[in-house]
Amino acid sequence: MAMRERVVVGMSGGVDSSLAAALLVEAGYDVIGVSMRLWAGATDSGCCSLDDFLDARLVAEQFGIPFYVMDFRAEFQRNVVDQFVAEYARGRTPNPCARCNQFVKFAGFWERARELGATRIATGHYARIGLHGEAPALLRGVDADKDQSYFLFGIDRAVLARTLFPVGGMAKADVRAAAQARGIAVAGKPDSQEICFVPKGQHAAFVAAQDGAAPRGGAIVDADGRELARHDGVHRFTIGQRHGLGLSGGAVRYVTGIDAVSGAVQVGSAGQGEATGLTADGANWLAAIPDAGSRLSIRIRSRFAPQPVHVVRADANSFAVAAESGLKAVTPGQAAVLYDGERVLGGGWIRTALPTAAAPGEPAWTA
Amino acid sequence: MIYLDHNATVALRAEARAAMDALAARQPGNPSSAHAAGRVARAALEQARRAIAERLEVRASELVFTSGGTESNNLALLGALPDPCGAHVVASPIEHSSVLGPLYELERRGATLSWLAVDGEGRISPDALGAALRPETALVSVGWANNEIGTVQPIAALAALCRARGVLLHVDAVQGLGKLPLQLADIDLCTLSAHKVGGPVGVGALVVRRGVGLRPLAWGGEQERGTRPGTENVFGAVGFAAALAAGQGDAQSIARLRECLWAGMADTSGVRRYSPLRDCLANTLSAGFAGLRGEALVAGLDLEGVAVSVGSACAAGSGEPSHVLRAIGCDEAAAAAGVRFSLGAQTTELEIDTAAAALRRVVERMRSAGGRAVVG
Repeated sequence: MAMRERVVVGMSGGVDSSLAAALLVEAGYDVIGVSMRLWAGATDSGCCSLDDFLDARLVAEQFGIPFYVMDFRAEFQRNVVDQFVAEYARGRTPNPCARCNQFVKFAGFWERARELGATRIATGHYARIGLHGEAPALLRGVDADKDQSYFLFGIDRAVLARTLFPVGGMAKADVRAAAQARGIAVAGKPDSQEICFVPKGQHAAFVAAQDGAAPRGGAIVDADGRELARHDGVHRFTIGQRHGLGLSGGAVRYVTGIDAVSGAVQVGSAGQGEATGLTADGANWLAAIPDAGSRLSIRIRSRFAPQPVHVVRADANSFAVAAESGLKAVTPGQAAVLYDGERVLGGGWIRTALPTAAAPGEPAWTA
Repeated sequence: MIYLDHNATVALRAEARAAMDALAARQPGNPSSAHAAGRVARAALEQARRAIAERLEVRASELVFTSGGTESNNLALLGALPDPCGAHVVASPIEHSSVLGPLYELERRGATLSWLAVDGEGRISPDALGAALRPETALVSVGWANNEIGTVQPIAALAALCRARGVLLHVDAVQGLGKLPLQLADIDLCTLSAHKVGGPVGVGALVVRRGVGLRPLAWGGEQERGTRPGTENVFGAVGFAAALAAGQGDAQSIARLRECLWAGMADTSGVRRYSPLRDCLANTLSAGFAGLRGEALVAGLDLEGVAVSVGSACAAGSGEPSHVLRAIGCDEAAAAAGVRFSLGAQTTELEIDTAAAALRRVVERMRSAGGRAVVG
């Protein structure tokens, strides 16, 4: 009898990863379920609750697969939580889910899977893996509303080649129906939405409570640098934010800049928050590094329709792009992910927004 | 499956099941009832109590049935010091969480805790105990045999010292029961559990020597002389007694198999034995594999059909480094890499050979996968 290929599937206790496990069993893989224990803190807003582990355990039992809870708390703390706090203190807006995918849910997970003798890993993410020529390519999920490819740009290419996304070719409604049809108890379980370790709307309190963060207060200023109000910490703000600024009357104003050194939070009209492009670093490429001048599309937030851009420069570690029609609320710290159609070429972490009027000495962005 | 996790639980023994079946056939009532069915239950309960007491050479009236080791440890420690404010308590630092938990609760209620020094094998010397005792010491708690590494304490010497100093002594003998000749002289409170000897889960006992007063943890009945109210677990007590009477195998042959297992892994790179060579439970072998996670080793062995634990099963999944291994001088990485093999009376040589081969395969695979111990 031929050895079946062993795959370790990350099971969160939700419907997507539960169905993913079931589909892998049906496809004939030697399936092992693993729940990742990520967060030891008190909040219980997202994943990793005991109820979620229990749900995952029962699904594993239903399909007769071995199941283990594995401890990733140290990796999660170091790569996700500490970085989350540090980014806010620097006046940037972190993206913990993309960080977690890059460093924990794929890199760390793949290592544990190999220890168990697996040659593949799988998760319940909404993304697909196809071939581009000979090379595996990360593609958008079929369900445009659920597509998670944006959060997955940081996967190592070698790991991507060993990864399966069993539900990435399905629409969410079909996933629920397929789970229902198999009698999976969590078929109707609500999706998790928030950052798993921070209760909804409480990130500022979370950051302030962390040792060593000590966010500083400062001024809220207009485009001309005039002080409009005071605030008690740059970690309370993100680019494009318009609520909670403490400004009374007048036109709607948005946060257009955060200077963690001076503590200044700049606000302006929507138009003043528009950039002509961006630079990103910490790049990860899932395809050949694009040539300067390549016309691609970009996503700079999760709920963001892809915008056309062209590549100004790109190397192994960083890139710069210019947007023909401008980019709204370019937010340092968030992921900038480059697509060629439905294929993710790679991405990086936004470093700077390039301003509306090119400053002296800046290169001309228009090609 | 090759089951090498007998320190976590021993499968229900046929003798225990048969005894409970025989009782069920007699349709026992509530042992407190005054009718025939009640008398059947009462007789079965008291026979079980007497049988267990006789094996331990204590009076039947000194044996209080409980729901298990955790309750017995709580009843002993919290019950012995109902008003712990200002009391000094001396305890072993390598105990099971069901001992540490009530000790911390005593501390919250105002007691002062002193932890005994242990050596590199987890042993507590009478000198260490003598050094820790103070005039105001009210209670000492030491486990007879350690659940993770198997170290057996010199209980007779420790007990004699406590007796000479007039200090109450509690001994958690859950792992020693059935595996060691237990001599309870000079021990005031002693914890026992049924499922570690092949009895049912959910029943245990606390030996409370005559003259030792305990404040109950629960109120509302006169059962067990008021020390442990609630309708008695008659089936549990009967199963417990039958399992204990059935014996736990020959310690020498079990120890021989354990050494076969050690011989089968001793060549593995980076292996280190934590269980002592002398004065150790015959069935217990704790070992560490440098650079590997215990959690992953346990999963890898499970996939090969071999059941073992990291540290104690009760702490499994917590991902915390073993406090026992920390106490005997392991660093945090090593303490997260310990694996406990615990043999039983039914373990065979073939099973040991198979398990050792599986272990070598798993360790080799993990090393080639570049496994690390603690992620730091």
